[in-house]
Amino acid sequence: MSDDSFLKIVNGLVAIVLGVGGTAALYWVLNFLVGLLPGAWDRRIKPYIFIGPAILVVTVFLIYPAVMTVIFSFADANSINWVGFSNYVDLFQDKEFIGTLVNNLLWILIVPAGSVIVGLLVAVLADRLKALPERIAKSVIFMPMAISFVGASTIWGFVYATRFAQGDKQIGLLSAISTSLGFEPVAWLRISSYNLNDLLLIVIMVWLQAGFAMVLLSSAIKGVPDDTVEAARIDGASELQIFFKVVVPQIWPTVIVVFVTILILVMKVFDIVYVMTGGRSGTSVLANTFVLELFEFGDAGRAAAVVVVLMVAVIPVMIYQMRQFKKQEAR
Amino acid sequence: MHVRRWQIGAATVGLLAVTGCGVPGGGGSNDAGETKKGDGSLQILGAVPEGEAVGLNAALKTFTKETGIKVTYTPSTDFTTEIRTKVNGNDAPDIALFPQPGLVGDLTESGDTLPLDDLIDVDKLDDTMIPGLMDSVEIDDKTYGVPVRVSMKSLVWTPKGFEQSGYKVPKTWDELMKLQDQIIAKGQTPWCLGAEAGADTGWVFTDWVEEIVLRQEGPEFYDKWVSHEVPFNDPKIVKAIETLGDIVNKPKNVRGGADGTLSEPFGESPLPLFDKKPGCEMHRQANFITTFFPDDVKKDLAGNVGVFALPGDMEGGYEGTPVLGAGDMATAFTNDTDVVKLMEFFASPDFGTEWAQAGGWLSPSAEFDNSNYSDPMFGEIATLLQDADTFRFDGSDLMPAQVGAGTFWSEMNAYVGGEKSAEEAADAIEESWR
Repeated sequence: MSDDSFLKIVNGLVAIVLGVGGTAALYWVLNFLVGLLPGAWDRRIKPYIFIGPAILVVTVFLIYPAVMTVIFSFADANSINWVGFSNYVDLFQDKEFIGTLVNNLLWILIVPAGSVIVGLLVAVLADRLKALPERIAKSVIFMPMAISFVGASTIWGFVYATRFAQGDKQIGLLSAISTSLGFEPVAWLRISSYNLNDLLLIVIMVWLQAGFAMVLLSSAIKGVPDDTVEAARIDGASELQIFFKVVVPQIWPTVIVVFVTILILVMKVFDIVYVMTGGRSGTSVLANTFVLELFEFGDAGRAAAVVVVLMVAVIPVMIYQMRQFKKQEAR
Repeated sequence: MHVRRWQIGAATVGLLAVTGCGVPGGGGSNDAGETKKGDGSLQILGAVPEGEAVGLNAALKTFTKETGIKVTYTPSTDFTTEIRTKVNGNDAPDIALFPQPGLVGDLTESGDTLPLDDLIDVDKLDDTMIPGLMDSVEIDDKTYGVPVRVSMKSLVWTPKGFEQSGYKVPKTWDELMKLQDQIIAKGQTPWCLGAEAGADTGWVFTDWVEEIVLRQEGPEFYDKWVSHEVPFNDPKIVKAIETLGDIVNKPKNVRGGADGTLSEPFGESPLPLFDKKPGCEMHRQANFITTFFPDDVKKDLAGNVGVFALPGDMEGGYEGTPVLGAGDMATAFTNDTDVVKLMEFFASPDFGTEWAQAGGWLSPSAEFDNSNYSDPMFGEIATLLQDADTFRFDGSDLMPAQVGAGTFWSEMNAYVGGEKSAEEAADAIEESWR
């Protein structure tokens, strides 16, 4: 190990100790000081002492940057001159950008629903297995969750890879299957008709998220009281009826939570698209466009406008999710 | 003097996860100002990857020995992003090695780069460097960079037995076209061409288009095109794009056809040259491609592979053989005596002897002694470069990024993939030029 990296590690350790210790000390000192105040004031101020730093951090690192982003979306590429709404006007006149919005919509429509359906299916079916096979089946479905988006993209990159030169063996699973059936080799990720390439990318996200949905839904299903199912069975309900009329209503809040969580994740999808296609052949999504505009093209104004669009799109979903959480807590 | 400086990193809301939307600094006059005394150490950021930087580090060591100034070179795999982020965050390195002069222009506009005119002898630099090279770092009559490395793009690589197979090195474009037919007639494949490069896919095609524009219309038109004095959808540019199409879409001309070029990684595409029965007879790519050659080939380049300059002398086009190239430019962000010393070191015609020995490097100086190259092939390439009629910098690197690293790439992919006509592609690029 070189001196430099040793120094870095020591630096890091010191930073962790000072950071964590310092924060703890700060709270302790503040708590102590407030404790010195007379009784009524102590109780009145204490909550703010503990929530204050969190609010400060959120303000500095979330609210302030968000406000600045909105402000700079009305400025030019170098954030020097004001340009009014022209960044937005340009964006919405750009056919590519409209396509990007449509792509985001596709992701939003398919991934949460797809993940919930696959997760629910696995959870229900695995629930009927014996303990060991159930655990194995669930682990296999859950495994992709442990893979990073970039890793998953690399794996699926090999699924979609195609070789065109005569005599070259197909290394991609999909192409190997299609060519062995006698079809010509196809560049899967360039087929933009019917958004096929978008769908091929979306599959990756469903593959990644189905495990997450399964885990939560499975525990919800196990939480369904046996006597309600028993009662339905005695009343002569079929298995499907039991599932849709007894189980599903009882796990519905969990379904919504899973759905909305994945939905929010999907709204900021970036890695998969960036790694697989870089947004080419009409597969771009908002986050990808943002990164291109800011880092590749150096247009801070337009990049800010892109994220503002994304931000505005996420807000309703956030409000809905917060309401759901509140409802659940109220139960 | 900064009128007003927005050094505010605006980040998106955390729930977007896309954090760190930096906002570049704003206007300032481009004046070197006063040179401070250096503190004896320098930080360099560059896009020269670690593997290729062995020679650079050796050269820097010589510099440290001579001056006592400690220099740390940090390679970046995502240079464009990193330098922008650092400059915006007020954490610019002392010197950065820019692979794209266009980016230097962007950062000069925002007043972050340092003009070198008052610090080093720029006139002398103009005289010793390869003609045409310094133009790319001259902005508003001021010089913002010292070239430290060039690459020659107009090179065609051939397999070992190329000439024994009865093929002759073409001297004109016409001969090259005839050579294609000759190779096809013999049942072989003329070209290996791969443009897949992840998010950067497409630059190989833009290089081809630039080569063709340079040959079909000449350097003067090329300059006008690059600086947007003529629109991108000028019929002459459309014609050049179609000339590339003639090569890529001609049956049996390119290994794997047009679809193959789009899915073959550029680094792997030359490998069929080294198959027992070569998978192709020609591969046009810059000199850096040798780093992707198999190890046993690299050991003796001159013995294992042939090379010639992509011919010019197109009928009705430019008379002579122009060279398309690229390079890394050292641009300064700090004004101190250490930086000045290092810039002088970079500017000297002897700079890079160590790098030439380590390999993978071409000197930007027309006065560099070609016998310094450890590999005779590089000496040969350097001679081709020094002999060229004219040198032009990679056009897509000089165009604004949204074109040069954006639509020019993506639209060429769409054209080669058959999704758009040359005219539609050119129109789309022109529209994106803002």
